[in-house]
Amino acid sequence: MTSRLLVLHLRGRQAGRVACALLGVAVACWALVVFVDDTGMLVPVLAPLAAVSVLGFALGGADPALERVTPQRWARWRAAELAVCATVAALALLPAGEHLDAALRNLAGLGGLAAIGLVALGPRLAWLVPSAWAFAGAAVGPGAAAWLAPLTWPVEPGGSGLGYAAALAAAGVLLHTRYGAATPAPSGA
Amino acid sequence: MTARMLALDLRRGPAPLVALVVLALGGMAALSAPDECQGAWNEAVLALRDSMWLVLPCVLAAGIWHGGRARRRGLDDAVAAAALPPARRAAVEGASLGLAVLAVFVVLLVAVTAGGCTSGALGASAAASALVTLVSLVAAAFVGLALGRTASSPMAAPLALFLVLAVTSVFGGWSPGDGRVMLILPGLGEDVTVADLTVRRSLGQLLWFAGLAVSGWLWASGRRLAGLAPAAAGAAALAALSS
Repeated sequence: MTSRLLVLHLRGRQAGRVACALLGVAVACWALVVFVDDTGMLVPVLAPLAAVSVLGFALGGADPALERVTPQRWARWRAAELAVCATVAALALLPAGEHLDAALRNLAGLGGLAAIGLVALGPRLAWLVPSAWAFAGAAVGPGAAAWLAPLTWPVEPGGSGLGYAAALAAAGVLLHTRYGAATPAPSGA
Repeated sequence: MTARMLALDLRRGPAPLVALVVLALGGMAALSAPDECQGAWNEAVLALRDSMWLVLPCVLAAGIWHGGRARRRGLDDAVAAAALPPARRAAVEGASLGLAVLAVFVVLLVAVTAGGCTSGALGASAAASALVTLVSLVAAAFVGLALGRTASSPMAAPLALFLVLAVTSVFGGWSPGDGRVMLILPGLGEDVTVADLTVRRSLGQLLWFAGLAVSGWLWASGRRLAGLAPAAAGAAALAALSS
């Protein structure tokens, strides 16, 4: 029974498509590190952003409201889903090489933002929140004024901005585990 | 009828969100580069165009999202059965995004102007370059619409966004030493000045992006093979005028 439930759950979470997309992220990451001299923000920012955006689709079903009425301990399921997704995404970013520390920091922080996006907007639009944050940081650029640090931490070199990333990751985990994905509005899909 | 549809699309579609995103990203990128301004119109236009590496993929993704909306909601059969011609529907959907982008572009130009980048005359080459930026954004909206009609998966928009962003970041923008191929992207290299952007070169780019926009519209209307012709003609014009 449990294995059948697990298979159905994975199917409902588009696990196959998401795994293929993550594999694409890993290959792109590897290709950028190997073939491009100056990857700029691509590997440390865009690769984790792509990974968390894709994983957003795997953290919510087609009808989250329907899921909630089923007799499951959803908080545990969601926590387990987050743990598995974070591990898989971290594995996909392993080819990042020298950018690995910044990529993992961004995976945590942007992943937290994606989880917040899931709670606020639903699985289909969750990617908008980390994307908006990362693009705003990229538009301002690294080395900006100190008051802009909460915005620009994803584009700063590895080692800085860990506090912001950890805070966002914790907030995302807590909110998603507690509330789960929002049901998408009919006009939003 | 068309005006009412357009008003509805502007209100219910992603146009307001796109306008906000373009305004925020373009504004931040343009205004956070004061060195490039140097008190002249020409540099202001270049600073705005520099932000296209980030803004253009966002508009493309919005077009994809908008183009695939009917199919994602299971309404494509109902929409196809309506009396409205597909070409007109695609034109209205693309126009709503195009209008949003146009309005924001004007606002950004005014904002950069307010930042003190207005001395000197707006030369013909800078004006043509500004027009290229605008038409490239409209082309991105229509091409996105066409892609959205083809791939309506919710994952298509973010994946295309990151892919195009990676491509524009890796290849950067056109510089005088790059040859003609890089002119297919609206971005510019760091060492480009207004003097490099001749009116002839900008006209070639203008025709290329206009061709892309028409191709996107035709493709989104269901005339896929015919839709390739304007893009091919635009590419030929770009090759001829940029030599």
